[in-house]
Amino acid sequence: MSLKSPPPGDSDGDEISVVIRALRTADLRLEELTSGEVDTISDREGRSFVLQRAQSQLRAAEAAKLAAIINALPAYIAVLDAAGRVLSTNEMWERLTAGNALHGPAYGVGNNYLEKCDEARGPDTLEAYRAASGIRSVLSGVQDRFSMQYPCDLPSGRHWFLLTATPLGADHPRGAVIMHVDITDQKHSEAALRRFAAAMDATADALFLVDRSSMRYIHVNEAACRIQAQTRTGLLASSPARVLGVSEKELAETYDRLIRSGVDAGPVEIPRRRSDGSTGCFELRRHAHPSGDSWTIVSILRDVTDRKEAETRIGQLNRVHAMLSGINALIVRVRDRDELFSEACRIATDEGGFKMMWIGLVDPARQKIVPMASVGVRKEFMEEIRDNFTLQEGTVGGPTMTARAVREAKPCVANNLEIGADVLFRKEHLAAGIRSMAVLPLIIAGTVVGVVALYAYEIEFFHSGEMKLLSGLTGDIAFAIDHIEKQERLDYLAYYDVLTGLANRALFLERTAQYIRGAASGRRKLALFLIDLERFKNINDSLGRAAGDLLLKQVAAWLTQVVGDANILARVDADHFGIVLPDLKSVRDVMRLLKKTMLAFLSHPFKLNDAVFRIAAKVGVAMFPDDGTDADTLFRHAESALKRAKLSGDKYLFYSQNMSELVAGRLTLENQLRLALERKEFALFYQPKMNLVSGEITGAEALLRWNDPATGLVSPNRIIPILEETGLMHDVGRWALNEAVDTHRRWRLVGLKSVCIAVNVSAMQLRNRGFVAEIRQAIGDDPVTAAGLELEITESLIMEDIRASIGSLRAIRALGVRIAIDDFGTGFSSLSYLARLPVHTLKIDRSFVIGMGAGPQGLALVSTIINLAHSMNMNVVAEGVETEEQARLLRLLNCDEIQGYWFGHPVPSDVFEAKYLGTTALRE
Amino acid sequence: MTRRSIYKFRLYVADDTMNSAQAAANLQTLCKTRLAGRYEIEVVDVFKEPQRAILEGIRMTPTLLRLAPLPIRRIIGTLVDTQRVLETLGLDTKVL
Repeated sequence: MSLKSPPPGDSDGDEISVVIRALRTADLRLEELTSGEVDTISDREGRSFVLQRAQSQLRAAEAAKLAAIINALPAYIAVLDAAGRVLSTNEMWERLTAGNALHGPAYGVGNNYLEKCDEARGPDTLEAYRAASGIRSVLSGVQDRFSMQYPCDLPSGRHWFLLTATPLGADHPRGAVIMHVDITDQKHSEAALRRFAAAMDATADALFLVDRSSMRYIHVNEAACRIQAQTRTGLLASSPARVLGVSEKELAETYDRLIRSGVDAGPVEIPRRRSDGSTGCFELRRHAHPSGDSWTIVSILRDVTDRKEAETRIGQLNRVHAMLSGINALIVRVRDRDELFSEACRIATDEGGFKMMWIGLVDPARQKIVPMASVGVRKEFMEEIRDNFTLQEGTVGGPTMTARAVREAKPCVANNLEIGADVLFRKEHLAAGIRSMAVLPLIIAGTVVGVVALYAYEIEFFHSGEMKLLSGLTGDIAFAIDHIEKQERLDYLAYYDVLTGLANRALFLERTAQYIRGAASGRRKLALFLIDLERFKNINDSLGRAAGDLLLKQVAAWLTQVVGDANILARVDADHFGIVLPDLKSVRDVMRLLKKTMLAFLSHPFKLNDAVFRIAAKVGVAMFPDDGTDADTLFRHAESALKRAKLSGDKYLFYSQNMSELVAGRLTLENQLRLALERKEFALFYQPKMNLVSGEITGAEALLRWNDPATGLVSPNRIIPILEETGLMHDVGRWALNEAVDTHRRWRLVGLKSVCIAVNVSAMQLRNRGFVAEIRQAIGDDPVTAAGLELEITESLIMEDIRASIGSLRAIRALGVRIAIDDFGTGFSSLSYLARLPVHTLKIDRSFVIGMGAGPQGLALVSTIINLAHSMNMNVVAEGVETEEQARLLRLLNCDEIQGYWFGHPVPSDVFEAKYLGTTALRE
Repeated sequence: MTRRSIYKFRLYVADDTMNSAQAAANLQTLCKTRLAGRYEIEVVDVFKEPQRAILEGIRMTPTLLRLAPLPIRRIIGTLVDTQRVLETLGLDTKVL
C-alpha cells in the first residue's frame, strides 16, 4: 500500500509532489504540514501514500476486526507457521482449561503444535498422530485441506470435535489455520435420528411420513412395509396417493384440511386386509408437522382387530355379569316360581342384551318340555315347543339342542346359526337377527328338571367365559326352584315351634321388633314377658319327654286362650314362653296380664296321664322404651329379670327396680283390699240430700270408704280403680248393696225416719248378668225395702251400651228400686234415649253447680237441665252444693233436692242417724 | 442563492482512517443542523476508487467538494473549524 518510488511531479500537484518527495522518509514532518488533518496523499497516478498515523490506525482496525471475527467463531482456532509453530490463537482456544490431546493450553502460542501432537501419550495418542500427519500434509502442500472427527472426554461428558486444517494462502509454506469445532450436538442428533428410525421400526404401528409439497414418502417404518407387503425402497419409490388408491389432488386436499384444522385427525377406524389375508380393523391417525417451508404428514395405522375383539368379548361378559347379578338379586328376593322364571327372562333381555330367552320344565312322564316363561319369543315358537316338541330320540328333525341338553345334562351351544343344523326354527331365528344360541339344563339333585334357552344377536357369543358364567347362573336358578319348593316348609320351621305350633324365638323377636316400631311411632309403651314353667324340668325327668311335650302343648293351648291372641305369644325356649303386650295404655294393663297369668297358672289344672298337675310360673318383664328400645335388648332384659325372679322368692320381676316396686306396691294394695272385705275394713258413709222446698232431709247417698288399719281412711278415688280392675268390685259392690239395705232396714226397725239410700253401681256390676238377682236377694222381695233403695248409675256408664242398660234398668225398676242418673251432663246423652230410660232421678253434676256462679250461661244451662228433667217427670238433685248462694239459685230454678258440703258431709251411719234422722229438718 | 437551493457535497476519504471518519462525521452534523432536508452527500473512498480521485484532482484525504451551488468549493481536512467551513461553503449565519 505504501509507495516505493516517488511519482513525477505535475502542474496541479507540484507542491504535493515536492512535499512527498521531501518528506518521504519523514512522515512526522508531513503530519505537521497538514496539521494532522490529512490521512492520505496521492501521487498523480492515483497511488495513495498513507500517512503513518492513519496507516497504523488502519492496521489496528483491520486486526481488531479479524480478531473479533475469529473470537466470535464457536471454534478453537490457531494459526500455525510453516513449521507448525502456533502463531496466534483465538479466545476460545485460550479459554479452554481442561484441554485434550489436540488443543488446549499446552498448545499455546510459541509451541510447536505438531511436536506436541507427536509427544501425546494416553488414550488420545492415535487421534493425535492422525491430526499431526494430516496437518503436515496441508503444510507441505500435499493436501489443500484436512479434516477429521475425534472424541474427547470432557468433564461435561463425551464431546465430539471436528478438526480442520486449511492453508494460510496459496503459497503453502506460509502456514495453516487449524480449527476444532465441537460437533457433539450434531453427533447427538445423528444418533437420535438413528434411534428414532430404529424406534419407528420397532413399533407395531405402521408409520408413514409424507412430504406435503412433493406428496412423496419421506420415511416409512418396517410395519408400514409389512402392511403394504412391499420393501422399503419399493414403498418409498411409490407415492401415498398410489398406495391409498386415491388421486393425488384428493389426498392433497385431505392433507391441507388437516394442516388448516391445526388438530390431529382421527382415530378413524377403517377395515383393511391384514398381511395374513384376513380382514382386520385398523385405526388411522394423521398429524401435520411443520417442516421448514413445507409440512410433514405423519400417518399412523394401527391394527386394532385384536383389541376390538377383546372389547367385544369384555362387553359381552359384562352383559352376562349384569344379567347374573340381576337374576341373583331376584333369586334372593323372589318367593314364587313363576315370578322367578318370568323375571329371569326379562332380566336376560333387558340387562343381558339377549334377543330372547325362555325357560321350560321337563315333564318326564310325557317326555316333553313345558314352557314356563319367555321374553322376546314368538308365540308360535313357544306353542311348537309345548305341542310338538319331544325329548324322545329319533323324531322328525333329529335330536335338537334342547333334547340333547336334557339327555346329556350338559349345555348345548350353537355359536353360528348360519351353519347350525339341529336348531328348531333356525331360519326364523336368523330372520329375527339371532346368530347364536345356547340351551342350558336346570339340574336339581342330579336330575335335569328344565332348560334355559338363550338367544344372542352376536355370532360366536357363547364362549367358554360366557358359558362358565351362564352355567353358574342356571345352577343358581335350579337352586332357587328347589329352594322355593322347600320354602314354605322352611319358613314354618324357621319361624314356628313344631311342638306347640306357637311362634318360635326368631319370629317372636321379629314380631316384637315390629310392635316396637308401632309403639315408638305412637309413643306408647310395650311390655315383654318371659314365663318360666317352674316344675317343668321335674315333670320331664319323672314322667318322660313325651309327657313333657304333652304338657307344653297344653300350656301353649291354654296360654293362647288366656292371652287371647296367638300372635303375641311364643315358645321361646324349652320351658319358656314369651308374651309381648303391644300398645299399653298404662301399667295397669301389664298388671292385669301379670295377675291373670299368675293366678291362672295356679288355678288351672293340667292333665297328664290322668293325673292333675298345677304348674307355677315365674315371670320376667321388660318394658319399652324404659328398659330397651329394640327387641333383642328387651328380650335380654326380660331374661335377666326372669333369672332374678327365679333366684328370689318373687313370682315376677321387672327388669327395672322402680317398675318392680311400683307394681309390687299396687299388688300389695290389691291384696290388702282383698283382705279388707274379709276383715270388714270397708265402711259406708252417708251424705244427706235435702228437699229445697221443704228443707227436709229426703235421702242419703252411701259412699264407700276403706279403713286401712295402717293408715286410716283411704280415699275412694284410690281404691275404686283397683277394685274395678281386679274384679274385687263385684264382691265389694255386693257388700255395699247389702250394707245399705241393712242400714235402711235398721232405721225402719228402730223407728228412725227411713230416708231413701242411694248406692253407686259400677260398670262391672251393671254388666254382670247376676246383678238383678243380687239386688233381689238383697231386698228380699220386700217392696218397702225396695222403695228405700236407689241405685245411682253414671250417665256415661248407661250410654256405653244403651240397649243393655235399658234392659237392666227396666228389670231393676221392676223390682221397685229407684234409679238415678249420676253425674248428668258429663256424658253424651242422646235426648231420645234419655226419654226412654226408666229413671226416677237426675243428678246434676257438681261442675254445673259451680258453673252457675260464673255467669248467665251457666245458670241457663242448669235451668235447662232442670226443666228437661221435669218435663220427663224426673226428680232433680244438684250435687256439690257448697254455698248458700248456690242453694238460693237452685231453689229459684225449681231444683227439687240438693246434696253438698253446704249442709252435709258424708258421715258414718251412727253420726248420720244422730244428726239427720233423730229430728226432722236439722241443719248443721 | 435561495433557501431552496440543494447543496451537493462529495467527500473523498481513505477508508475509515481517523481524519476521514472525523470529516465525514463533521459534515453529517453540519448538514443536519444547517441544511436539513436540502443536501446530498456522496462519499468516495480513494482506496476503492483511486482513478476517480485522480481524475477529479483529489490528492489528499479527506477532501470535501461543494459541487452545488456553483462555484465548486474545496476544503481539505477534518472540517473541525466549523466557522471557517461555513464561511468557505457560504453558509455563515448572516447569509442564512
